[in-house]
Amino acid sequence: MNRTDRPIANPIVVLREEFDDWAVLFNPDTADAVGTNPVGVAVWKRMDGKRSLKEIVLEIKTQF
Amino acid sequence: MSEELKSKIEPAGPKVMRAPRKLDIDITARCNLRCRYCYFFSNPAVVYRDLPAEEWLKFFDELGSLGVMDVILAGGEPFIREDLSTLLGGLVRNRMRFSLLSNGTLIDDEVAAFIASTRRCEYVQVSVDGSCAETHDSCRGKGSFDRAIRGIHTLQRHRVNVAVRVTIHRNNVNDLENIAHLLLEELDLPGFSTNSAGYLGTCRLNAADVLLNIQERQVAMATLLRLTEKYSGRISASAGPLTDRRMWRRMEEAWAQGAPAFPNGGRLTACGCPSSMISVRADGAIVPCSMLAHMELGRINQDPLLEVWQHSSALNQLRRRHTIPLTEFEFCAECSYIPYCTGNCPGLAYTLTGKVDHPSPDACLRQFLEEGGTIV
Repeated sequence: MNRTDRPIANPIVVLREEFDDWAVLFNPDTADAVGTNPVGVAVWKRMDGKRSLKEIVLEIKTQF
Repeated sequence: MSEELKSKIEPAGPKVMRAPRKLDIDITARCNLRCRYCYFFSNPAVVYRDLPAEEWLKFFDELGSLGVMDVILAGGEPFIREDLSTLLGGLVRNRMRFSLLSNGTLIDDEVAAFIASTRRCEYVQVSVDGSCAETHDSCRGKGSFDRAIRGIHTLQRHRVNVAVRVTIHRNNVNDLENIAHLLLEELDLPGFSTNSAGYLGTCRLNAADVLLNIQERQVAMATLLRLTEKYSGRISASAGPLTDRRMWRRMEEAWAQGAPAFPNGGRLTACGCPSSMISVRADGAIVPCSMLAHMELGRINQDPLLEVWQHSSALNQLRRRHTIPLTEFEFCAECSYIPYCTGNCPGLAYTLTGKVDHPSPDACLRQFLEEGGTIV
């Protein structure tokens, strides 16, 4: 199986959500932080190691 | 848009985050020193009591669940806690970064090695107030300089980022050149920050011996200005003589040119901290800032932090401070600099006037000039 078939969010990275449905992805080891929009947040939350890439894409298309 | 309409629209302040991004935590009320200008001790608002590690670890779990990114541990002296490594482990487990504010005298190889191993330490800030023991120890106690320098070396040996804070007072204001040489050339630090002793805590009891007078404040400004040019980019400040000099020069020039008001001028806009950070006292009381230690908003592990952060009426009132025009204050009556002034620190304002919603007299340009000061 391809390692990216069922992606898993990096457990060390913090998803820090804000009021406007945007969020910051923060890596405490490197202190790197990036902002992500609501679509990015939805993708990140679905990367649970159970959903395939195809399934995630379908769910995102449905939600947005 | 008419001026009348503009005056009716509430000015936008800093956007408040959903949860605090950063916390200042006084992890202990104990310290092995008794510095003569310490803001922490001799404060009637503070309960000097330590919490057991379990309380802090439980609270750190809550911070982790909220996505808090950064914690600054202070006190007191954080390294006095025998369980400091346990506490730092709690922060690491909850995916946070941390910094420590220290007098540097209790830092040994074991704790420095542990800090380095976490890979989560932004910096350890060590206070250095002199280029030699005589100057540094005059306010901090005999032997503290040598131990602070040893602490810095220990941190450097373990490749922990070292920040240094120089607090300027009457006994070291003429030693600044030598301090800069020590820190930036002999110890080869990337930089250091400066502040001055403020009328808070123990300093209030020793004010005459410690606080800079007008002439000394001017000397500090001129010296720091010269040093920032010599050591480009390596000397910083968020308060104190260097910040005052920069801000006041801008204000004077703007006034002389008849410039329009600064975007954040004319109101109590100086403090943006309540939109992104909050503090916790050593006894677990949640307060807006260590400079406002009397404003208890709740208590850790009893009051959900998110609830306090989002719904505390006292905190939300503090966030609305930016809407208060300086023209409302008798202190500011007929001041030409109002359009360019932000009112400075609410903590100092409270200490000096008894009111949080008041400009800080300590940061008043007009008062400085009236007392004989000049912006060099």
